[in-house]
Amino acid sequence: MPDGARDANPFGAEALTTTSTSRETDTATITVTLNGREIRLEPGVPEAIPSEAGAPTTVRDVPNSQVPSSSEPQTLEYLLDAFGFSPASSATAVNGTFVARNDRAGYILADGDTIEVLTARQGG
Amino acid sequence: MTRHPIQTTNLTPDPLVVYGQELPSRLFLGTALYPSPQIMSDAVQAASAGLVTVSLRREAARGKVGERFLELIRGLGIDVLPNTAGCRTAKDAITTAMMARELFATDWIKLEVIANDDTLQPDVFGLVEAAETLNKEGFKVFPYTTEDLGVADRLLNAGCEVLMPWGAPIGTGRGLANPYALASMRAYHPSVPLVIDAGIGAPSHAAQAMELGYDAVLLNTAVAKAADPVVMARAFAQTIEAGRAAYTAGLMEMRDMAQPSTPVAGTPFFDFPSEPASQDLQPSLDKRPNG
Repeated sequence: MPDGARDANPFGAEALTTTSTSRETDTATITVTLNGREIRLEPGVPEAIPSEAGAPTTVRDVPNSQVPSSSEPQTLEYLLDAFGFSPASSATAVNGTFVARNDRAGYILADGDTIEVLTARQGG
Repeated sequence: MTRHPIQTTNLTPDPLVVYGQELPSRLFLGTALYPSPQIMSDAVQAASAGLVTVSLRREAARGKVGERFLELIRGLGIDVLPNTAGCRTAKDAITTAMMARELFATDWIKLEVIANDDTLQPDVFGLVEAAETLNKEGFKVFPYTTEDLGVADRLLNAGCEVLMPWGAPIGTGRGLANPYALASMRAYHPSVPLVIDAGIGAPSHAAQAMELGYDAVLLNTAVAKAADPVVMARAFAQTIEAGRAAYTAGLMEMRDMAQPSTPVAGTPFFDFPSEPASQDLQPSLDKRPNG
């Protein structure tokens, strides 16, 4: 019945890619790990880098209006929004600790954070 | 002449109650490995499952898979039991359980802490540690454990109100690998709901578990990987109901020697030898075997 350990994390990571580092970084740029992939969060940087399948894959795909200014903190809510995760069907943890849905807006990400965004899947 | 209708359902009106909630059946069914979502849904319905197990996995950026699966599961109208499959430490399992509680809006959690990749054997030390924390956090923990009675005591002391020992390693379909130990667990904890979790491959395995007095069976692969999962789901439902009825009806005790079921008294003497020995014309009744 149960699926156990061998199928751990078989879903989802394929669409996340590491961003390039072509831009000049500034002091507000942080590097975090999202679902096993390292990404750079650069405030106010709208650069679309579509994946091969045409689906947005990085934070740079976010339209200008959705990207916070450099003076705004990069929160967990911002990250979910930027990557198009459904807030209601996602559960989050940062550095191995659960972060509740209502706390995402106030959770400011720091350089080196490891974020997991999980959702519902079949299970045994 | 008065005819009595044959009762074909509810032969044993003894509902299963876990954590104060009455469950509609004693078959707990996993939702993984089916050929399609529709077949999974049909199998769950055919099984009249008491609950279905689900999991959490990473979502893709802009992915909708999880959202669609949540809609599908909610449409089944059956209670869900999220699992912590794949977790190897108590901390991972605790975090996953908390994420599951928010995502699935339930405080039920099937607690798995895995020790070994080849056997998917529970890490009973991590299991107890996680169970202690989760019970304090208000979870209703369904621990995936072994037949070990010492571990069972620790889990019960931690606040667990149900135990789910494995029948055999996950996904093997080998049935009850240690029925002696499982029977001991049943005898040792007569009032604790016990669920066989994992290793079931055939309806006969489930029937054996139920005849041992186990309260329910949790399975997935045996149904999902059947040639016809929907029919197999129904077969499991029938055999689990039958096994439970058999247990409550009281099984006969095994004997070492044969004993006739047909009355001995009045047995006719059809087997006289054609030329009976002069000293044995009247064989005694009690020496004559009966089928």
